[in-house]
Amino acid sequence: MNKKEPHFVDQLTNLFVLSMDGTISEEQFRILTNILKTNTAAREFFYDFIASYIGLDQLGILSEQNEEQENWSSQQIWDELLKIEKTAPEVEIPAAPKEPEEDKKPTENKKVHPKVSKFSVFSLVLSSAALLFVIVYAHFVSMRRGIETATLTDSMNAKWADIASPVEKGTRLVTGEKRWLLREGYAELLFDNQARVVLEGPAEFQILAEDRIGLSYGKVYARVPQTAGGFSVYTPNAKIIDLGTEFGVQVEIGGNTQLHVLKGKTMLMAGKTDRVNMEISQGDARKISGKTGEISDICCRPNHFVRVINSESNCVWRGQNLDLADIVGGGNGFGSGTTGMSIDPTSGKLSSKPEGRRGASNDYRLVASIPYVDGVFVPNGRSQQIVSSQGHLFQECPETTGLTCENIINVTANVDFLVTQTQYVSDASLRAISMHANMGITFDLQAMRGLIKGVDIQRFQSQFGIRRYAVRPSASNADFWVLVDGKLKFKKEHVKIGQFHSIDIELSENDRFLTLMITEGDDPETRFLEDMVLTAIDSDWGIFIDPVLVLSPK
Amino acid sequence: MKNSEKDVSETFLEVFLPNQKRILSFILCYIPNRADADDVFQNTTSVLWKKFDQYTAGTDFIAWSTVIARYEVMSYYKKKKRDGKIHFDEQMQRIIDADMETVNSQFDNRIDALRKCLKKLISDEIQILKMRYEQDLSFAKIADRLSISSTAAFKKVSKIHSRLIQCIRQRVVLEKEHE
Repeated sequence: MNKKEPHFVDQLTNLFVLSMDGTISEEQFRILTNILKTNTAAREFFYDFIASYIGLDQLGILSEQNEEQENWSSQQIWDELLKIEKTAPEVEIPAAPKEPEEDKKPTENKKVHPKVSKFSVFSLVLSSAALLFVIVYAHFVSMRRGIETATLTDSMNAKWADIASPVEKGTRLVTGEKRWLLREGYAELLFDNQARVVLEGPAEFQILAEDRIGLSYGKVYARVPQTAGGFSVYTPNAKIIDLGTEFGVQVEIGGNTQLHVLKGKTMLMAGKTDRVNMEISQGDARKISGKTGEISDICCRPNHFVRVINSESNCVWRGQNLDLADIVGGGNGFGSGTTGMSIDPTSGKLSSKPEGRRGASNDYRLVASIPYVDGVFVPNGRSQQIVSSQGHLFQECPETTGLTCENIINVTANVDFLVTQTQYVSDASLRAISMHANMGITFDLQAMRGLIKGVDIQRFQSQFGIRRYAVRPSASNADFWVLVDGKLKFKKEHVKIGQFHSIDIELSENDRFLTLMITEGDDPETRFLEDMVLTAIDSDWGIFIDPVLVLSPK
Repeated sequence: MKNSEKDVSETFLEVFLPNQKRILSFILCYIPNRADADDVFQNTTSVLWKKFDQYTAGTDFIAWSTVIARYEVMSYYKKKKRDGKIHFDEQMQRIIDADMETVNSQFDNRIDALRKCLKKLISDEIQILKMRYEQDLSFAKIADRLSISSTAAFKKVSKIHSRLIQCIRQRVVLEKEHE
């Protein structure tokens, strides 16, 4: 072959592309090696090719290209190339390498063969058609550089690598090559198409397009409304495309990608030379090996990702329930409360040193120091029993002595809760509200809704019984009550030590107040037990164990 | 995670993330096969993380990491030799070793040149590159999209690469002359 043949670089490039693709033959590779060994200029082209390959495949340089390229005509390009050709170094090129044959599809050697039903295949075909549109549209229409496309709507304890240009609430993020490194903390971005993502540091990400975020490392959780369908998360070895859903993606240091789908479904595209598409639905999770590209099933972990943050209330929500005992302890319901902290039902004040037995009026007392507790009271049923700051009345309130003992206390259940006389619950993580008869506490559901926007309070769930604290267990006898806006939703009368019950009450978005109340179980004002004179409230150490509000994204 | 561990992982990320493409580029020079290079890159990343306590902060991370990457490449070659698969022989590896310092130093120049050269492509060519590199489409899939044969799709992609590297070469040479 003539050294000056115009297309010698083309032939050399053919070998580069075949090699990179893994489809080069042994003979072609031998030829390539010989050229590279003997010709410095060919090696320069080789290194140019590697750099351009990295630039195109890894650095997102293509996404910087405006849709409107410089209006070069083909003739101009050929003229330009002719100039280059005249100055190009001489390269010894042997016979033209074989190009791939029609039936030799370089990227069809699949590593993963997921088993799918015919129905799934059909669904996939339909989804793929929609997907194709999304991809083509996204890549050819909206991959423009420097377009403002998302807003930082909130952040908590966020430390950004780029201290020169601080990222604050309201900062607009633009598409392009800039990589954002969130060293620690949390950041929430709202894309203009209303897709909302929460990033958990350390994380490195890139805004690739109006509907696309690239994650090099770290965790991201995406909530995508129907209107923003097609929103995608790109990782080094996978693309996750939303099909109307909520999902979390984690890229580990070693390069593995994890996808956890918590709601709806997504399309997962993984593999490098071998693309596998599969639909991943609610409750499912997959891991894509950074090393082999292999896709494996893993357990979906609903609490693995931070889903919602609220810097105003200092709340980080991973999908967990809202703990009412923590709120009694002065916390925000997510563990910031103090164990042992209590509210005095006779004053509404916080206290760490509860008083003993005492009597009080049945006034409704506001709790000013905890925004999520509306008020407390000592029910006596002798006059109208107010159970909220809005004047809700509990009409069926039983008559009591008006006595009470100690406070409404945030406690742990492992040492206190007695399922039977001999069996303890040993799970130290169980939180509880200790409430001796007669006491009531009203929580402000509306205030709690402000804790974490975008989340509904769906249910109140708890277990309840008598604490082993009771020094005279056989004297214990209490009634348990649950009210919503003054209306009775649940009651269990004459609960004695060793008895164990559950509550599960559905709540609607219009419900404002939740009241928990314990009374003395109709015991007489004075009673005798083993030659002792006891009051009606004696040994009525009621406890609500693991009292939670079940939350769900709207 | 303990604070000290967190600090180490943060420090690692700070130096690793901005340099990971250079490391991959280094590996590709020795192993011009994307799938195999990815495997070696993953192994290298894992070793870099394990040995990160041996890296002295403030020193040249690329120099340190490419030494480790080179060992991983050698390990790959030993395996390939046993398998009898296609690979660069030792003479070729030594030639690349000798070139590598210059290649590393010109990486940014080449990337800058690529940016400029891409602007000289027409819109259709950019779209084909996007199919190949953003959508990771095989030649067969690109062929389907463009209603052409797989061979023609391969030729188109290769031709565009050829134009780009010729343009890059010219710009890098010109820049050198101006230095």
